Amino acid sequence: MEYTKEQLARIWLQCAPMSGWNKLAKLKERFQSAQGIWDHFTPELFHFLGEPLFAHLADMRMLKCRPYLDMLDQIGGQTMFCGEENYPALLSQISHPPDVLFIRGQLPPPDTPAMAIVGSRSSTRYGSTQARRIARELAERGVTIVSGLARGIDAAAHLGALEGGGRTVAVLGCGLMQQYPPENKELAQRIIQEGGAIVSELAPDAQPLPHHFPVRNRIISGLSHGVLLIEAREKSGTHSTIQYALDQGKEVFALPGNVDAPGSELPLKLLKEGAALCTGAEDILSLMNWKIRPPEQLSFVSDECPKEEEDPILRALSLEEKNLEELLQETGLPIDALSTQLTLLELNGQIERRAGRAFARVRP
Amino acid sequence: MLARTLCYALQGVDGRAVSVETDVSGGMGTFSMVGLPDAAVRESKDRVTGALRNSGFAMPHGRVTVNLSPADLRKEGAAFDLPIAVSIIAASRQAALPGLNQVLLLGELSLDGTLVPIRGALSMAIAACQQGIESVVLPYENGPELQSLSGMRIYPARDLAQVIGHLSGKMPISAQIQQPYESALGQSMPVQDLSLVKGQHGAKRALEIAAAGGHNLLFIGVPGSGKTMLARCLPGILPRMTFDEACETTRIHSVAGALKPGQGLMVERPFRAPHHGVSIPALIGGGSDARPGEISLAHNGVLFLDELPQYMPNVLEALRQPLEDGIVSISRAHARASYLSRCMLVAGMNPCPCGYFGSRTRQCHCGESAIRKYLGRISGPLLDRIDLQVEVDAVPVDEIASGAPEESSATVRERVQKARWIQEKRLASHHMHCNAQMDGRALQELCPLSVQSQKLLSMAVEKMGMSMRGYTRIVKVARTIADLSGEKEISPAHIAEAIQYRALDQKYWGT
Repeated sequence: MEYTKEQLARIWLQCAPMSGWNKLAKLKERFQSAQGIWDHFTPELFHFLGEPLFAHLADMRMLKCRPYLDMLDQIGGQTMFCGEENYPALLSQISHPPDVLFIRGQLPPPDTPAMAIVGSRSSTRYGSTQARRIARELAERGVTIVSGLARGIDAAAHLGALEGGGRTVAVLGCGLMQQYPPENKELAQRIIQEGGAIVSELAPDAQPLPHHFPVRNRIISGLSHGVLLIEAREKSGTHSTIQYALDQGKEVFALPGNVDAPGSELPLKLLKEGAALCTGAEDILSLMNWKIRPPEQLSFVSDECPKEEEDPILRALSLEEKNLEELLQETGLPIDALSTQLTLLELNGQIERRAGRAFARVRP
Repeated sequence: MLARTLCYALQGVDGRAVSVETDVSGGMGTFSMVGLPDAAVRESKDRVTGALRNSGFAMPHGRVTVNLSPADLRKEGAAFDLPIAVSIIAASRQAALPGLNQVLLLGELSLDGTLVPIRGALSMAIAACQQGIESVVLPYENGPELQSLSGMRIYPARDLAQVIGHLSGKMPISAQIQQPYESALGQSMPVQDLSLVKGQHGAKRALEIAAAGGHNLLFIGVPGSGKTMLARCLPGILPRMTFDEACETTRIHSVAGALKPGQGLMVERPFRAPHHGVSIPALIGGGSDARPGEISLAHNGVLFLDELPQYMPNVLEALRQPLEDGIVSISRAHARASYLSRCMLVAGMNPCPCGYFGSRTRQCHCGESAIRKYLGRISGPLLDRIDLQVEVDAVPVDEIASGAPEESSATVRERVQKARWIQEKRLASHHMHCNAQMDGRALQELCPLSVQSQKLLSMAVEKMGMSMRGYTRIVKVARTIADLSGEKEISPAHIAEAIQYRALDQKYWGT
């Protein structure tokens, strides 16, 4: 891809370390454009920029940003410039949109609804399950799921979206070249393969530094119409996403949790302050006034499935989950017959197995 | 004058013949011992001197030379005390001892002449027996170890004076009355009976299947759910050891010095439970003299590793080869030995770091990544060797208190024994003994699956997120389940039950 001089200068500034961005913004005001800085990049700026930043910019100016462009080529990354046509319209409306956005994969078409799902990295099983379910339900109806590819809730949300056959966008707190967190490497690959995108405003080789993440959060809310908070402590990085969402005038949803669970602190606080309560995709769709595309009905029911009245196991499980020993007692079946039957029911999709060798009915 | 007696040195679990030659001649009073003795053998000079004097004999004046032949074999331990003392007496003509080189002499001496038990007596006696030696004199406490050995007369003696009385024919010791192995079997009692475990029918069934097919087993359960207790029951439901198996196991224990004084042939299968701080040499075998490790001590029995993820990863990896081959070869600078290690591995672990994932009574506080990290401490290749992975939940208090009768170990053992006979017959042509040993080829030849069973299996792989490595495990376990019910073909029902024993393959467990 060929860049104009101005575009090259904008990439050059964008790839500078985040700590220098304030100073560069001031320079840009003075010189009117990125190219203005490029053209007037003289040793006089040394004292204003400080030694490390000046040296970095001088090097890159000399190399004409070649290292970054090579890196982008290597991973199939593209660039989007604020103000140009392909730049996401939603994002350009926030107060400090990234001037240049690096992207792998495809962003969804501009008019599709998008929802951010955010929450704690150390999520509980409840949080992950719910994030995954709601993301799946939304994706099935054509909503794009935006999140941060972190551990915990973020990963669950991306995964749910993929399961629902929808698109999902991950906004990174590091460069596109980095694999962070390492366990989500495969997930990132899947997101791109299945029509989603991974975006970052940082230089392709930028490390995942702690101060990157709060700044990155404005893009997560910026790319979405609303934000759903699943689980977070009160003093957590997720708080900044909510703050940005409110500043940007986005709708904030929160999923309630147990009142005594630490992860419920922030969701419950937001709910008290007037956030919309969300228990499933329907709540979001109705409040956002999105047209619902009913999901395709999938059904496993066949004639071979025993009816509840006929099967002692299904009868025993009609009210609550039970573990193997309890089932043995209630059904009176011998252990080998019971084990066999449990596998068959599970394969039929009538029951599911849970931790602790417990079994529960699956409600259609 | 020269005298020659017979003794054996240990090399691993095998005995090697050593002849002890003593020459007494006139001259300056010196004592020299040659033939690669180690420290314990060299010190025997002082023990023998004291023992001789306190038993009414004396160390001869003049030159005493003791040669342990063959000279290039390293000799260790104190078993040479008795043959050295006896040969000195014979060489100095303090007593007339006819037929001395037809008798195996074993024993350590204390200063008052009492015989002290030695390790490895069984191995030495078996080796001697194979070379045509017909009688053995050994410490009294070692007698029971040899109680089922046939083709040999065994004379347990209390002290040196008694040995000389016996050898000179003046006061013969009466030979030990040998007990056939079958009658020794009858006296044994399992350490822990299955009937003492209340409830836990799911886990007991898994234990029975594991015993029947020789499958390795992993119990996953909250603290206090009875994993250890269940594992302890396993030796009691495994088939009785044959005489050969009992000999193999007893020899290893004897060489390691793990037999209690006065303990006879081991008729119960061993149960070894090393702590999770165990080192590689302690588990696999090692040390400068290449001693057997826990895995060999568990030969023909059960090796129980509780809290599996707490073991050092390199220790667990070192287990893989001995588990697979059933034998460990240990090489050290001065010693080399091979020990059998055909044991069943039973492991216990908590479902998550806090221990309460999936518990009814307590809340688990572990995050998903913490659980994944915890499970990740056990490598795939090791898990690959564990066919059955079973979740165990704590038994409710009212069930413990209830007096409902439970099956005894003996009943289960009968069923297990029957299933083993079926397997022996089927696998004889492949030189294997139980289903767990089947490799890919044997599996294909001996365990054909019906179309229906295959369909069920592929459905499981697809819908339950079962891994492909779990596939062959399921077939093996299904084969054992079919053997337990005495059926020729593997039916879909057997496959379906086998699927229940792949807990770690389940979807909800990490993702």
